[in-house]
Amino acid sequence: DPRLRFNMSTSHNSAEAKKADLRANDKKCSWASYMTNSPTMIVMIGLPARGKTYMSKKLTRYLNWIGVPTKVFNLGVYRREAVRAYKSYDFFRHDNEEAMKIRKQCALVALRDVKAYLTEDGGQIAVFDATNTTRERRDLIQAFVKENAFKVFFVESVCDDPEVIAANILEVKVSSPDYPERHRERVMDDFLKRIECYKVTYQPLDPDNYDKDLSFIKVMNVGRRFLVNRVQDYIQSKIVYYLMNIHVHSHSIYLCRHGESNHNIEGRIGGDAELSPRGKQFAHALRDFIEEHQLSDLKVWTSQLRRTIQTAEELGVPYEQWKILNEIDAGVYEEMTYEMIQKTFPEEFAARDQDKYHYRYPGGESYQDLVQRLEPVIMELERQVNVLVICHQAVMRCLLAYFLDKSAEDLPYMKCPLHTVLKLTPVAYGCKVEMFYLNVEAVNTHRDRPLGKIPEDSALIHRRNSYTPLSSHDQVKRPRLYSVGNQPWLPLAPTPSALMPEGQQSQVSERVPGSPFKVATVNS
Amino acid sequence: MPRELTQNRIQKIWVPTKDDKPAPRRAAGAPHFANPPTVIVMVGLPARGKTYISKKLTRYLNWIGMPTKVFNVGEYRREAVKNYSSYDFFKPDNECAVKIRQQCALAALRDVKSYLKDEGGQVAVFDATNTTRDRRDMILKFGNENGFKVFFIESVCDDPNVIASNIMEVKVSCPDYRNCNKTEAMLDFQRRIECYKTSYQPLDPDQHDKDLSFIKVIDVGRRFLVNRIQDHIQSKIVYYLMNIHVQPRTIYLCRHGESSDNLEGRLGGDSGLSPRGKQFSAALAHFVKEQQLNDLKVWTSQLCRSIQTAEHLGVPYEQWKALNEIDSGICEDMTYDEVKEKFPEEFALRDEDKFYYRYPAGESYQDLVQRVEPVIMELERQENVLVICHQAVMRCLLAYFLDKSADEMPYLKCPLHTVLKLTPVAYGCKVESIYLNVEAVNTHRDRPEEVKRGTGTLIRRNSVTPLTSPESNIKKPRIDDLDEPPIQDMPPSVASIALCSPSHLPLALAGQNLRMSRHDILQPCQ
Repeated sequence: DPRLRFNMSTSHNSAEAKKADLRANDKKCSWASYMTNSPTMIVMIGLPARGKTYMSKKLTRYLNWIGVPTKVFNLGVYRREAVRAYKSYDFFRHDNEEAMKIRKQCALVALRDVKAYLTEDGGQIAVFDATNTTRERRDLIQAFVKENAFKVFFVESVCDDPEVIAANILEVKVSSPDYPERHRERVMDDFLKRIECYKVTYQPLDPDNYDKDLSFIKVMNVGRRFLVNRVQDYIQSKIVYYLMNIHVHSHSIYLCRHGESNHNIEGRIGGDAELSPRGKQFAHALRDFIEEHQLSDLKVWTSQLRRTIQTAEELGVPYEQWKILNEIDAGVYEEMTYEMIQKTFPEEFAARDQDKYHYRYPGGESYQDLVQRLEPVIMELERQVNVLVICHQAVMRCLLAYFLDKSAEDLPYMKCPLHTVLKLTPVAYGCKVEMFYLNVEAVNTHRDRPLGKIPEDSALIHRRNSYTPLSSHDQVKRPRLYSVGNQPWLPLAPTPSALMPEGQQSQVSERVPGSPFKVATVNS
Repeated sequence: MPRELTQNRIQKIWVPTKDDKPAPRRAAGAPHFANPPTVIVMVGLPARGKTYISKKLTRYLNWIGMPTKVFNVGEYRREAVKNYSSYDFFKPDNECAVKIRQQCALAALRDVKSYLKDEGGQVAVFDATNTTRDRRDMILKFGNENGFKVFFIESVCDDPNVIASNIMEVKVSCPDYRNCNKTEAMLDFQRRIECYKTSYQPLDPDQHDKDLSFIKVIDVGRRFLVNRIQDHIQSKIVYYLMNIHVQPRTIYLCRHGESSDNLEGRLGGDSGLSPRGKQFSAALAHFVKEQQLNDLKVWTSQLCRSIQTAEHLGVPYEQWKALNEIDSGICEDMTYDEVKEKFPEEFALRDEDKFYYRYPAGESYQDLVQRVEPVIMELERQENVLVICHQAVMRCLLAYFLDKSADEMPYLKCPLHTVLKLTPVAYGCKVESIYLNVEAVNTHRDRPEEVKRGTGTLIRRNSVTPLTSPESNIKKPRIDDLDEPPIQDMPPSVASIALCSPSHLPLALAGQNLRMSRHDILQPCQ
């Protein structure tokens, strides 16, 4: 199989067989699923406005990116489906019996969906995003998990810093569909009362007695402290490590490619060529860009290839070389043009078009390999404050797919043009992208997805051999209870169309000639 | 003006200077953490595994290229006070002894300082009980004055069984008790613990110590409390500590069976097994059965020869791309002679510094260490594992377990058709080398005789260059006001237990080309 290039690669999946075989195959040769040998449910715990949804979404994005199929089940969404109009915090009073009934009902529906996801839809991890503040509720979940032979890992967020809580309410709660067009203070007031309702019955995890045998992490005051209890397996240890490394200080990440190289001009892939004259011009423009944006304290990372180092040298600031940021290894095709490859190895060329993400160059790498290689970079990017990463087309696509939650299918076709800087700023649950074209012409190195060559299979099948990013699908929002015909509160802002593969443009963007081209959008 | 770039010949790194020495910046791709040095301070009652954690962590940090050294205050104390008589020495009201112990701590800190300031050390592990706030405040002050970061690791354990087994395993054979029987030693040691208990002030995350950076390891890793991680290295340490365990287990390392490329003496490639290679696979299957391991996990690379070897075992196995053989770039599929002929300069450069040498468009051993780091982390998490890998990869893994330096690593002997069985014991690792009696070619190339040695210590900073954990080298007596004359030589038992000296290696690894029959070599690495 030229796509996977495992000498003894298993099973050619037919579409029907895939579900049944999924886990069996995993056992045989997967590594991602080997980490998660039985499906895991991650259960969030905490009062409202403790960042549970933030952690859920971020963790889900990460796990999907490393190829572990993960999905969030947000109980609030179910509740809003069930009860169309939110009036006030009264709904959350523990003595509001009718409401309690509805809320429990919602939880059960969500659990049913969790079960379907983990047993039928190939999911490996379900993140159950709700307050889960009572033992009763957690016991119910444990019974559910036991019945289905899932593993369970609790993530409790504890925070008693009123400022953090207020900031969280302001940032994400006032824009919640529960509060359409209301005044800010009223929202804050109502939400604080809502929190009080939960406080009455809140039973935090008790590591010393009641909950001492559970597997969990308590995240205290936004990551200042962590209590970790009984980590059971690889994936839990990975989750703990990730949660310990993400931080919430505002920071921006700048991604760009090296300046245009001589190989770029000749259309050759790979290699270790020097910058072209225009590439040097770009490096200069990049220096101006950094000055203009007053990016002091900026860390600059490059690969160990000459073109990125030459670009960084022009900046006149210290920089770090990472070998793992090197461009995808094209193996025996290094330094060839696409035309040469197509002519000499038409079969290989076609195989790559068929499944670009999984296709591994003979003696080289696939995008899948690249994601795995880049994982430490992501972990370190999460830890850092302001970083400029000067990298390469395929590498930049992988990094971008992490921040923008793109699937394995879209990843290899994301547009990362030369001489263009992307600025990524975390906002609320997503990431804001701004795109700056630095006004230095360069060749186009993008090759569109061939028409009519949309992969026949969803990413699901292939993931088994490890790191295959999936995007964290928004949960299906079919009204199920009291279907009152409420409008689903979509749509989320799309990714800038300029980044997206052809045919998937979700938004028209304009480029003003002569001025930095900029698209700002929020991707949740 | 941007500087001209030249490529460093050994490491193939683009550097803006003409200097052809290995690049001063770290090479293998970890970011450059221009961090101040770190002092890791152990906290806990005796027999809580502090020394175990210290040594293991030090071995790991050295392996990933972070120069690290343990400073065990107990050794300073034994140096200062020749004859240990009984736990009386540790009573809080034994004023003279308290003074001596304080002196020892100061002497150790002095050594920490010179290690971190003058000797290129990056991390010092201060292995002592440090159970009082007074002592910890003194250390914090010391760190502050010298611009070192301080990270505490407290080990808390109340399980009497764990403590007793720890005492039996490493304490009763300690030089303090060389003239006692085990029961007496056990009893005395328990009294010693009691002495510390009276003054023990655990780290208090809620009040007194809430601003410190620390991890509390509770009940041998059942639970962890992590407070205020400051940087990459602390986060790395925490992750490592959370993944290690103390369950008894065995790790088996071997290479794939002999391949047809082996027969022709070719590097790299992706060839299949030779007939003898297949024979080895069958022998390996037999061996695995004989070992009677439940839940043995088998890992291979993604190269044909290691997968073919695993296929013979008839058990499930996992493929890791990270276990693939070192990428020899433009030299793939060539024999050493061909390399020598076609790229004579490259050939010579590799001999000059085999660890740092990166094949053009390929990898170095240094790159390899970084690539297999996740494998090490996962090996630490697992119990019984058989890793079927490749010569260079096996050398990297072995260097981790046996605490070998970057200089030795590329010359460790990992012959074909031989299984190494690694069993953790006390502070080290027991190695048995089992030749499965199937002939194979020799793929080992000895270190050339007159090789200019690379510089070693200094360039290791900030790079992924494994170092051997340095032996503790308490040089001369430093405490003057004691009656007893200081000990000149460490008693041999100390050397073997406390230091896990890397100089005692199984013969097969140490040098001569021995042919072993099955199961007849059994040597602990200590």
